[in-house]
Parts: sequence; C-alpha cells; structure tokens
Amino acid sequence: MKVALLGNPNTGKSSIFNLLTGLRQQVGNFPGVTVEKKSGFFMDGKDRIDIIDFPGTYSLIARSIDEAVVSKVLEDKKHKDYPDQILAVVDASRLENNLFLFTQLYDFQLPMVLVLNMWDLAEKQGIHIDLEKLQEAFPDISIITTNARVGLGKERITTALRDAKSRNNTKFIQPVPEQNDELKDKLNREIAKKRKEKISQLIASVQIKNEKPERKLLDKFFVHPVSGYLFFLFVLLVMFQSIFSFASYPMELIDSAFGFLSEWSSERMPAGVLNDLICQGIIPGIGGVLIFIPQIALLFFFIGILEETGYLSRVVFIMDRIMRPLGLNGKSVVPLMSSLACAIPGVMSARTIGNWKERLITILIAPLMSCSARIPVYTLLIALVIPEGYFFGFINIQGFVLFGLYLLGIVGALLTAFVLKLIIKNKSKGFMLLELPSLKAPRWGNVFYSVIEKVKVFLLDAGKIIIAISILLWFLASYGPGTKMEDARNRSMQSEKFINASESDQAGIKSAAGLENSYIGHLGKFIEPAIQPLGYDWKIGISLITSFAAREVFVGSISTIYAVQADGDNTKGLLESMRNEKRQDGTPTYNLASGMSLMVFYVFAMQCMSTLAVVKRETQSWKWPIFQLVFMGVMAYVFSWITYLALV
Amino acid sequence: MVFPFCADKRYLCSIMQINLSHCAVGEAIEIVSIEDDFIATKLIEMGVTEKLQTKVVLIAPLGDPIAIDINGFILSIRKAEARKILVKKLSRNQNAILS
Repeated sequence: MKVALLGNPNTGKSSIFNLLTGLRQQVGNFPGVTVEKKSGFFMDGKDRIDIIDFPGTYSLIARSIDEAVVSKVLEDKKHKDYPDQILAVVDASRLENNLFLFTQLYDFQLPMVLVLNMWDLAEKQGIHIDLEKLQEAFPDISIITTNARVGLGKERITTALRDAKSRNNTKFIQPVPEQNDELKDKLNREIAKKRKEKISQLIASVQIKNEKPERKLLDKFFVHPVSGYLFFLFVLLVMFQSIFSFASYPMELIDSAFGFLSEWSSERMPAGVLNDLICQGIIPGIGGVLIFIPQIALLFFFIGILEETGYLSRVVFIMDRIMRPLGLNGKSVVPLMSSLACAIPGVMSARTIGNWKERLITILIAPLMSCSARIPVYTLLIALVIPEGYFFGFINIQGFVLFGLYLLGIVGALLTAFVLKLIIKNKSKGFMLLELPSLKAPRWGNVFYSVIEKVKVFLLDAGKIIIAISILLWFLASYGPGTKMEDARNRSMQSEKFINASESDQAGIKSAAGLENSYIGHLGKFIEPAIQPLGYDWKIGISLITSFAAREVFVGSISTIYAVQADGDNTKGLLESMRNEKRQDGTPTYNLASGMSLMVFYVFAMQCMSTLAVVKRETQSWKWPIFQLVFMGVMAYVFSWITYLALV
Repeated sequence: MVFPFCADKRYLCSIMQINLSHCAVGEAIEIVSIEDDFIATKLIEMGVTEKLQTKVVLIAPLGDPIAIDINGFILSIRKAEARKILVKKLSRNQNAILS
C-alpha cells in the first residue's frame, strides 16, 4: 500500500516519517522534476506500507517547484507515486492555520488519516480540541492524536491506516469550474477566502483557547541589529572551526586507508591493465568520493540543528534585506554557507528558494565560495611562495593570505550576483512569506536522519560522476598516442639521472616521463600557449585539466609529475622539488607572481565536474552549467592574468 | 531614515487606513484589505485574512522584512508585500480587548 505523507512545514511531519520508517528510508527524485523524494516503508504484519514524504507546503497552489510536486502527483491518477491513502499531519496547537491544506487534501476523496500531532504542546498552551465535533465535520476519515516528538503514536497511525474508512464523497468546498489564466488569481483568492471562512466557523465550534502563548524574549536578541548579527557570526565561526578541525581526522584516515588499499591490492593482483584500472583508477576514485563524507556530514549536522531549533528562519529574517540588492534572498545564506564546505550540497540546498531568479543566481555563484577541496591547493602554494613571518608582529602572513583568498571568493560571488541580477530575466513573482517557528530544542533523531539522507544523496548522485571522471583521467594519464609513452619511459631509463637515483625515485622518473607523453601530457602542452601569460607551464596545465575531477587532485597530479611521493600531509618532498623546478631561462617556476596567480585561478575557476552535473540536474538544462563554466573561466583567466602582471 | 511627512502619517494612522509597512512594533491593528489577488491568496493560506486583528512583533535590522503575530504564529513579510496590505489602527479600547 502506498501512503502519501503530507502537511505544513514545522508540523513535525519528518518526526512522524522517522518514527514510522526508521532507517528504512530512501532518497530519490519525483519523475520528471528535480524535487527530492523521500520514501520509506514499514511492515504491518505481512503488509508492506510504503510512505512517501512530500515536501511541506501550506497549500496546493504552489509557489516553488518543491511545492508544485504535491498537486502534480495528487491530480494524476496514473502517476507512479499516486497514493492509496493520505496521511495528513497537522500541528494541534495551530489547528486553524493547518486546516487549510488539510481541507484541500480532504476534497481529493482519497482514504485519509488526519494526525493531530504535538497534542501535548497544544494542551500545555491551553488549547482544547473537541475531537468528536471534529470527527462530525469530517465523518469519513480517521482522526488520531500523536506526540511524534517523543516517539508516541506509531501504533495508532498503523491501526488507523489499516482500518481506513472508505470515502462517501463528502467535500469541504464544492469544486468550481476551471478558469483561464487572467481570472485564475481572482478565482483562487475567492475559493481560498471561502475555505478560510468555513475553517474559522469550524474552529469556533471545535476549539477552545484559554490563554495566548507568550512571546519569548530570545527573538528580540536574535534579530537585534547588533546582537543578532554578532550571534550569527559566532554561529558561523563555531560551525566552520568544527568542520575544519573535526573533519580532518577522518579525512586523513580515509585518505591513507585508500592509499594503503591501492598499494595492497596492486601487489597482490597480477600486473596488467586490470590491475592498473582497479588500483590507479577505481580505488582512488572511490576514495576521492568518500573523503568528502566527513565534511558533508558535519555541515548538515550543524544545519540540521539550526533548522530544528528554528534559528535558521531568524537568520533568513535578518539577512533578507542585505541579500536582496544582490539579486539574492535571505534563504540564499544557507546554500552559500554550505558551499564553503562543498558546492554540491550547497547547490542542492537552494531548492527552498521559491523565486526562480533568486534560486538560479544562488546556484550560479555558489561555486565561487572557496570550498574545502581548494584548501590543499591553497596550503601547498602558500607554503611554496608566501614567506613565513608576521605582519606587525602578530598577524601570520600565510594565514592572512589564506583568509584573503576566502574573502576574494566571497566578494567575487557577491559582485557576480549583482551583475547576474541585471542580466537574467525574472520568470516568477518575487515574494517571501516565511514562518518563524517557535524556538525549541533540536530533535537529535531528525538531525541524525537528515545527515544520513544528505550523505546518501551525495554518494549516489555526485559519487557516480566523480568515479567516472577519475577513471577517465586515469585512462588519459596512462595511455598516449602510439608508442610514444613506452619510448619515453625507455629513454628515461638510460638517462644519467635514472641510473644514479634510488629505487623509489627511479619509478617516479619513469612515470613522469610516461605522463609527459600520455594523452593528458599532450593536452597540457596544447594549452601551454594559452596559460603562459598567467605564468604557468605545461606541467601546471596538466594539473589544471586533472583538477576537473576535483580540485585537490592538483596536489596529486603535480606530485606525480615531479615524481615524488606525496605522503599524506607531509608535502616536504613535493615542496622541495617544486622549489627546485626551473623555467627554461633558469628562474624558478613557482615565484610569488606565478604562485599567487595560480591561487587566484583556483579561487574563480569552475574546476569541478561534479558541481556542473549537479547544476545541470537542478536547473534542468545544460545551458546554465555551461554558462557557469564559461563565466567562471573568464573570471579566473582575467584575474590571475592581472595578478601575474601586477606581481611579476 | 526619518522623512518629514512620517510624523503626519503616524497621526493619520489613527484616523484612517495606512499600509502595514508603516506600523510600529506593538501597535494593535486590523487588516482592512489586500491589493494583489495572488499575494492575497498566499496570505490567506497562511492565516492572514481581512478583519484579522494583529500586531507587528519584529522588524528586521534594516527595517525589512517585518513579522506579524497571527494567533501566536509568527509570519515574516517583506515590505513590498506589506505595502499591499491596508490596515487600520485599533483605538485604545479595542487594544485593551486584544491584550
């Protein structure tokens, strides 16, 4: 049996979903749209009950693509997700407001269970609901009360679903014939008004309210011009400090575990193409996906807490006016913040923005925020070209440059947003009606489930692409036209340098010679004339190309090229050989000018296939990811060129 | 930002209709009408109807958006939408009934 779980936002709908399905959850998409579909199941004796958790909405008249999916599914009986029953959740303490969506759903004539959730909260607030009278108004459905927050009511929901009443064609509002577009808004308004009036009459007879809930002083603090922003800054600081410091341990662990696994299996398998494919292509590819999990999990753990407590909507409230002149929305803050860790979950979280233009601009600028994949690149290059020391005796120069790079990304993103605002035409009406839910302690279960869900989405969607690109890059780096690679390897073995080198260095020299003549080596040389004005040579060119898999691949490929082992975070061997790297005229390849120019290039360039794939999925066309690739590429080229010219 | 006519508007507020964007925090008001059909529908869905007695409870640092109280449920509205909502200020007597 298929059950559609529907309700307003902030009614505890996800608590009910988690209560019923536990870990038997899946994330997918509704066919044809990019809206995330959460589904799960539980067993009622021998019967399997499938639950689809629809996005929270206030009405069937949609204002964002998230909400549109609800009416799309319910109005199409042939739809794959068309339910056998509706499980409608309302917040008992806010019955009057929540009944709007419920009565719309009621008129669909599907068997239905009405769940009055947060029953305890309503009683605490002095709200009494006469269940018998409510049942009289909706005679052909089951009405039950729950307290999903503390895990109460699973049995009651299961029983009600099992004993579903059949509908007898009772409608709350009689349907009205369809109208053309011009009159549609007017008609919708009239129906909404009629519905609302009928609900008010009903509420007057079923609900007694004793006292008005008191407003908490905390809100005054959270939206105060000084304390509000200071607190938000503090929250951000704590979040990113924890993400960077806590995530680094599991990341190093994953990194070394996969390095070990590659080595281990390569020694135990017969040498050949299959060995190379598995140990140099697939295993590092999987490792390259898994390494992002700690950061994604931590980020969504924090966002989950902010959402659960209701604080996030206060952030939207105080940021909305600041973001709007830039063509953004208060809700853009979360995607942009997330993008500081990784643009993929950031782009995905832009779905909550109802206005199409504001959502698109948020998605387009999100990858300009410096993500964590740029950190290895930044830190390597800073160690290479920025001297250690202090400004004014206390500001660490290297740290200051790192901070500057982040700032450059953020400023670049905001200015780009402003330009895009002038270019992109608006498709939908810009308005924002946002509920500020009451502040409460987070439900850890819900935070936990949302972390699991986001990690799953990342693994399934982005993971596939990252692995595919890693394999492609492995192929391009391992093979070359004709026998050029083999010849170069053989030639290198006869060189004086090779004969004098230690055994491990010999392998490095050999593979470097091969790489130079591989397909990717040829690509690097091909683009050399274009990147020479920026201060780069073909070896850096190769790394720029391989960075498309993921930016931090830069470090790996540059170290392969210089034929040294990049040993975890210990980049000393690599640093030394990079310092010794000389141009044809004998000057060092990496000086302040070329190093800074390269860092600026990484700040702006769209070197991430996974993000492009996610943007394509979210915008439903290749137009926007290609646009993004081009404009970010132009920005990267121009700004690093300017940087090089200024410093050389 | 203080405009010279602002004080006048506040005065007029007590005797005639103004729009929601001009109300101060805590002032008891009643919604008279909403201009835009589409916005009106969205507002009705969230509980904002004509004749609703309410008050502004929060104003964001830059004066926009504002938040009103609908029977204990806080709704944030941008000024652009608030301008489409005509309200009248309730007199002291009605104010007393409200609180």
